[in-house]
Amino acid sequence: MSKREFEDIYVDYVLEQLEDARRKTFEAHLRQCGECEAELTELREAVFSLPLDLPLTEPPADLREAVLKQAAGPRPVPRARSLQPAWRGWAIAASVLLAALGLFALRQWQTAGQLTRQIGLLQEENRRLREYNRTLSDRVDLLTRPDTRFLRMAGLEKFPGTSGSAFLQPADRTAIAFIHDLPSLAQRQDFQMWVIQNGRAPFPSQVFKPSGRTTEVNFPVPIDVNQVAVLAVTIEPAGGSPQPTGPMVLAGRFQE
Amino acid sequence: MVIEVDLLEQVKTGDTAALSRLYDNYSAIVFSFAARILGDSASAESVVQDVFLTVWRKAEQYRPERGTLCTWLLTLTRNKAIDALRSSGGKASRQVSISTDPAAYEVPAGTDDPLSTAILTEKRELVRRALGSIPDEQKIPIYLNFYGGLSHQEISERLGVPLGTVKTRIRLGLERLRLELRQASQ
Repeated sequence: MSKREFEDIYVDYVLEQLEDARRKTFEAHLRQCGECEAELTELREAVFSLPLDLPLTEPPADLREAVLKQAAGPRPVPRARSLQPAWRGWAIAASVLLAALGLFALRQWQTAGQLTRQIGLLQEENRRLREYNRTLSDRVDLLTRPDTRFLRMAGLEKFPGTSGSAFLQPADRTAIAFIHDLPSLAQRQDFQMWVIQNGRAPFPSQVFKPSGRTTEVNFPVPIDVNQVAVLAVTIEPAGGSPQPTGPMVLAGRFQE
Repeated sequence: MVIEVDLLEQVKTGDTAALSRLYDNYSAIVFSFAARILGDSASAESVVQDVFLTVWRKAEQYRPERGTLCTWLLTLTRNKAIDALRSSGGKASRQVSISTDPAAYEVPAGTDDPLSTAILTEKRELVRRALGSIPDEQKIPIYLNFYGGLSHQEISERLGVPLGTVKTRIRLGLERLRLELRQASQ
């Protein structure tokens, strides 16, 4: 696809103005052309920045509660339309109450509500940072222990831009890999890590999806770390496979 | 961005506190966007609920290489709102009622952001400035498509300008927006 052809079509694609056949052709091209996909991503970011220029309004407070209540169940269910009249009832009741309180009281209420929410956000942020700190300590421990084994991984023929590094800890048979520039996955596909011992079938390990430019993968090592000969990553059906079935993306072999 | 992605990772593990933070950060923009498309608050509330429950159930569908989390949320919002608009048969009336005045879509000067959208404040300023450089004749067809869900053909009929002109104006306007945002972020 020429630059001109791309420019003729990519705006229509983002605005969902393409017919099915042209859309599929365009998507097939995108899967093979990183440059076009990057341009498309930039355009999509620009297009979907438009709502940032709208006057913003908070949704009713009870909507938050309704969303979180549904998410709290063991298995979320589709939106219950029957709840809507209840929200309306609450919204009307809240409006009447607020009107009665008057402008001054409203202002006080808004300020108190904002402060409460701000405190809640800060508390959650604090908890998240503490957890993150613990995770970082674990990583540093794994990376710096003297018996940790290091392996460099390289992209295979069809994935020359992909690379990675893995650190395997013998004592607790855990490992961490940092993989750069993984290719895009089709729908219903995952990446899967494989641990390979010479002369034996590959052991399935972590199933994962790419996360940004560098994907961090924490995975268990099902055998003695010193017996590991190769680590490999393949593309598998969503959820992973007991044996490799898809193309190998990258791999690394320990020097014997 | 890092915190956004971290939050989504936590959502994938079933952490409702992470979902609640995402909701606090983005519910106002999602609600306002849906309300602009649908024209009424009650329908917009349904879309907000639908969007955040989709995030809860299908967080794995987010692809960071295809854009920011905010863009993913707004894409979900637009798809669901346009679907709701079409299924309710509201499109015909929207064709009459949707505004062709660009000012109807923009933030009035001096308007304070809700607290929950503080995370977006800086970007809002950039977008506001970028849109200021785009002529109204380009912004109007963009808004009619983006917020009204009108096809190019429908916009052409609505504005009484040739189809090719509509396409060109939309393309030029969006490319200008993209360029301005790129320059502003460098």
